[in-house]
Amino acid sequence: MKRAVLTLLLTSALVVLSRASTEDAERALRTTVDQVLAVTNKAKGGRTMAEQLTPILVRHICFESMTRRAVGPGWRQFTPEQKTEATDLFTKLIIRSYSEKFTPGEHPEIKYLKATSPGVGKVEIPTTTVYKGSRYNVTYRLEDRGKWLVTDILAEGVSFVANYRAQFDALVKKGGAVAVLDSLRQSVART
Amino acid sequence: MKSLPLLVAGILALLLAGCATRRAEEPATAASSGKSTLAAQPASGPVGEDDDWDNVAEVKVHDPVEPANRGIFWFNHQLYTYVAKPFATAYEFILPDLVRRGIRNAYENVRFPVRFVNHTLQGRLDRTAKETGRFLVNTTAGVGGVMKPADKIPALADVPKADTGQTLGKWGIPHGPYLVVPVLGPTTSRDLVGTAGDTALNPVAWLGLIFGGAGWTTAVSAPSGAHGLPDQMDRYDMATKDALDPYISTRTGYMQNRKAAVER
Repeated sequence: MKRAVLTLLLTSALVVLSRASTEDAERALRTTVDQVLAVTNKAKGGRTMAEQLTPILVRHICFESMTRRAVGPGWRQFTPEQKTEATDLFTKLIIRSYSEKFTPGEHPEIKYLKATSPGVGKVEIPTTTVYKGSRYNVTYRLEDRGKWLVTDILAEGVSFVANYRAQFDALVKKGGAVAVLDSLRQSVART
Repeated sequence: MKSLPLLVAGILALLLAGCATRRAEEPATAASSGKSTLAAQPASGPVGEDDDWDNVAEVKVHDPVEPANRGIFWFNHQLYTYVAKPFATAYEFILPDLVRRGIRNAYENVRFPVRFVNHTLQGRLDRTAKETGRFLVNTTAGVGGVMKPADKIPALADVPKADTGQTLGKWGIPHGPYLVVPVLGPTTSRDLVGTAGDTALNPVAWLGLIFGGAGWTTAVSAPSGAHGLPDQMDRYDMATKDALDPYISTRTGYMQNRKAAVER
């Protein structure tokens, strides 16, 4: 009897916590997406899309975590200065890459699907996005880091972080932090 | 029974402590937690970060002919840059958006047998039924599939795509070596067989066999056929433009995408 009550109580507590987490994360994601769309739906000439989106994205995406995970265990070879520079460069690259996906005048339709929590403080929110007449599956990974922040985006199963991780792995093996930073500088400088 | 509230409180406290620890390891300055989850990794630098890189799924690729693949990738890149992209730009310039979408929708509708057969072979009869419903609605109310009214019907809106390579994957057949094919681009030995299966199931290809004109049917039915070229080029740009190594980026993206398709 004791065990049954205990199991029931614990399960209820976990369900309540988990539901609260996914709801908070969903709210945070919707806020982010709404803010981004408010910019992209109006964007015309002048400042680039990346410049306009940067203030929003830095508030809602954990770029430091994305950089660290994209680099992988090789991150431990980086000095604090190299870490700061790598994070800054990778942030610019991600924002540019993300911003380029928007075409002025095109309005995506986003449908949020049932969120799941793969672990404490982690939520995955799948969506279907109809953009320029095509349907895409886009999943957002968020983590509770004081507030809910996006830590990865998967478009049609392709994880942003995992994709860069494969590229960084080769660079780390080739020339460590120096090779990573050189490559990042070149990519950011490329227009 | 006395210990029950204590135990519950203890477990809740543990759960909350997990969040609190996470907060303490707040991003930009995560320089001092001092724990490593990578005991097997050689400590080639100061361990002190939030060592959470194991959260990133490793993308396994068997690429035994990488030098040859890289050569073909380079060739394809030139082809895409100097032939396919200008063609795609001209196609977008000449045909209004609405017409382009209509052509794309109609082509997708015609490929119904590919999806029907593969959903069935995968044992997903619910999807076979939905796909059939989509085809009937789009063909009739959508004027031969030019429009997609089925998208407005919730039960028919989100049917995952199905192809022969995906079916082979669901049957447990591994990817095999990663390959880059001239013109068509990235694939694996499994998906190459799958492409042959998809072509055999594609009614546009049947027209070529019946009436001749393999050239135009190939141009239309190839994965990067004329109607799909602008989208293909957009995707190619997404995979390569901001990549540190466009070859690896394309390869990793392809493998992840196909893995997700099989798991869907």
